[in-house]
Amino acid sequence: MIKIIDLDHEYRKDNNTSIKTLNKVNIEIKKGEFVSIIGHNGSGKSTLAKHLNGLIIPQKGEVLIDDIKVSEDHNIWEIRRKVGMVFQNPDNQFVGGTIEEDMAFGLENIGFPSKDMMGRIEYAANKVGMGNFLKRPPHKLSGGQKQRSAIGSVLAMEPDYLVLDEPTSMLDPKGRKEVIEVLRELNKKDKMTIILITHFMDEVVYSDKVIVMDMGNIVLQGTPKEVFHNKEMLAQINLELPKAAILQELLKAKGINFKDEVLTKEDLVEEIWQLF
Amino acid sequence: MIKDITIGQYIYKDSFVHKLDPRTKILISMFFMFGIFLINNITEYVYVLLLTAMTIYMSQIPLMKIIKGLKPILPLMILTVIMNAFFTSGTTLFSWAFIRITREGLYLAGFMGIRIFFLIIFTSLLTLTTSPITLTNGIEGLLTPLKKFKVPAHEIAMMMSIALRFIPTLIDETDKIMKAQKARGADFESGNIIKKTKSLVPILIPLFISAFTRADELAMAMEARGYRGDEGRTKFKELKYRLADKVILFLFAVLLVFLIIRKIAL
Amino acid sequence: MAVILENVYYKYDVDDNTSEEYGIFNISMKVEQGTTVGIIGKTGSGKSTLMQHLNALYLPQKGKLIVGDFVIDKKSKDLKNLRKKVGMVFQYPEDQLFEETIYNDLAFGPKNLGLSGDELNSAIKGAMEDMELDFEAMKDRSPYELSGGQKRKVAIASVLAMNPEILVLDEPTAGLDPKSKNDLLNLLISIKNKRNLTVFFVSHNMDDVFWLTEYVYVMCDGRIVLEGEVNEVFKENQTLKDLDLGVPFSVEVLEHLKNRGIYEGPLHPMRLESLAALIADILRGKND
Repeated sequence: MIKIIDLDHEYRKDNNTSIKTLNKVNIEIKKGEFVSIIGHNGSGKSTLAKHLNGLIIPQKGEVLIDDIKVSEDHNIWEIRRKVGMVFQNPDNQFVGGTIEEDMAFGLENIGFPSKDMMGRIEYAANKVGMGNFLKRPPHKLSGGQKQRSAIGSVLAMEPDYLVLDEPTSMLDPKGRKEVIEVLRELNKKDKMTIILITHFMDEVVYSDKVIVMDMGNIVLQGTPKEVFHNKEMLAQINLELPKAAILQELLKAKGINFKDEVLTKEDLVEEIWQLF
Repeated sequence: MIKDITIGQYIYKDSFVHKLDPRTKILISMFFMFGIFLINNITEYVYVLLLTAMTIYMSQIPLMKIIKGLKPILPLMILTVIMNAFFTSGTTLFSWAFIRITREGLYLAGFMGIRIFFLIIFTSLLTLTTSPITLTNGIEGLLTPLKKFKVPAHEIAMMMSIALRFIPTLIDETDKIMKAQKARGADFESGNIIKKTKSLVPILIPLFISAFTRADELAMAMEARGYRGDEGRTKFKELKYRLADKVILFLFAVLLVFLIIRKIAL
Repeated sequence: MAVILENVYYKYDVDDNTSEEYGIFNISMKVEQGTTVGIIGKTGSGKSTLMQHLNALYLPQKGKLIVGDFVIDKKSKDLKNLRKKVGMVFQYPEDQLFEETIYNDLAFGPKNLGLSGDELNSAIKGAMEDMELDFEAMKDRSPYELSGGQKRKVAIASVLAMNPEILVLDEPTAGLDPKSKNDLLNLLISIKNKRNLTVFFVSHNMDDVFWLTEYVYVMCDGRIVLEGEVNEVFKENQTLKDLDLGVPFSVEVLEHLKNRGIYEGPLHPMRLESLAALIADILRGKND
């Protein structure tokens, strides 16, 4: 379990001004959950993510990964093994010259036995559907393929938690879809705990829990339906509902009564079909 | 044009040359470089040509790829040839105004041209058949004995492998920025040297800034994946000299020793 | 400015992927002054190469382009005057910023084209105002201090400062969050109308293409495989899916409804309001 307790973070812009990027943040994430953290650029969501594997050490408050304190220096390597992290720019996290070399990089770092590496790499590559591309260099891959490899590189290290910091924001729609599908699959089949940081509303509808952040504060927290039900708050911080939900709102305004609120077009069509 | 540079590009093939230990390949490339300067007659260059052709054939790298790699280096080759042809003293063959071409100059120019030609081909072959990480593993392997003298073998190797890995990315980026500035009316071709140098500023600054951003993000990604230098690190591809490596190294070493002795003896 | 392409052909030197052909092959187009056309196609379909022909960053190996009064073919010279007319906004255009102040960065393009003095000043001021950037407050600031969205605006303004008549937008909203994205697209629409521009809009987002454009070209492997009025093109949802491209949200919903036997009409793309009205009518019609 990940516990974030009263976490504060301030970032010093220059000598006189500092900006509060996290303000008394409290979150609990259970093993096997799919948690999405959503908010605009500058809402503090990336800062929060970087606390989860000790890339940022808490200034105030605490982050506990399976009861291990991130704030204590000697824990850092254990925490980085437990929490894998995927970043936004697919090019800037590719260390190796080919996919297999990149996947090996993390294993080399943790002192994984050389003779077992290939097996681990193949396993991880197949998990993200990149098993046939092991010898490819990064510049011969699409954005979606690069991000899937990045996920594979982290999976090879067998982390307990997978944190993704806006993994889809630089991808085209096809790449975005590929990445989200891989994440859903990992969560469902392998019970991998996933913490997805994003600014796309339609990516969060499948998660168990959604955390909405704005100006360093958690403003909403709950299941996707609970969160999207809170339309005034979302409008206030300028977050748009998923398209299916907007369409449903428009239909409601035309006097059509639905049994249930929906977030995906599949569910909406299902609801319409029931009324038909 | 900028995309034709083959040094630093790697093409995966399942060939004999690809499978050689990187240390072997680095060492024989070095032997080759020395050797090429110890040779000075046409017959022997024909042998070198045959050797090179055989290596290319065995590497399964398309010949066109290698020839294209020579293109960007062409000006350098021509310049070297001309310099040698013009500035070597000896028996005059031809003279016009202050230009004087000598027999010795022509010979030297020809040989220099041939040498550079082989040098480029062989170094391109090294990088075309050895992935960046394997290459740096090789360098690290060769440097490891020097660790005792505080040579940071691992760090050097890691820096090189990252530099090599990012060459294609940065080439793409240069291309893109150049086009963007051209679209804003920038002119990289006309004017004198000072003007031309100045015209590079709109390319170099964005390129540096992006390189720093990339470095920053890459460092973070590496740290997140548990990188902490040499300490407790294992190797994906452990280096091992196979029989083929030993035979080839032996042959090249013998050949080089022979060439050196001949040079001294003559 | 109208744009006509006649059998434009450009083939790249092929490197190691010997089997594939890269480039654009016999592209013909006719774009009237003042229209917004969409160019869609998956990554590597030749969209960018095609767009870069419009201001002669590439010269066609065969065929020609007629951009206003300019004819571009493989021997074209004097490209500066053409580049003045065609503004190119590349993907992640903020990567091209390099000057110490926003003013100087915006001045780079117009100065290269020979503008100076009051003319230069007003071009910069106009571009900043159009991009909703406060001229007085921002002109002396460094572009590097700005947020991602603001940087993007400055970069686009630096293209507008050249007062182009044609604007090529290559994924202008890539990487922006949804709110900044919508704001930027709205802004671009109003600039297009105000300056009466001809716009080429390259995007992967079919809803944005439907929203912004009137006519759409679909590219695949360097060729135009489908073209037409935006409504007509998006009706071809199977073709678009086969090409690995999406369709607007409305078409997807209509298709689902059709599969359930609720809807029978054509799969026209439409705004959410119209879609809601249509679905409401279907449901009422049934219950009456």
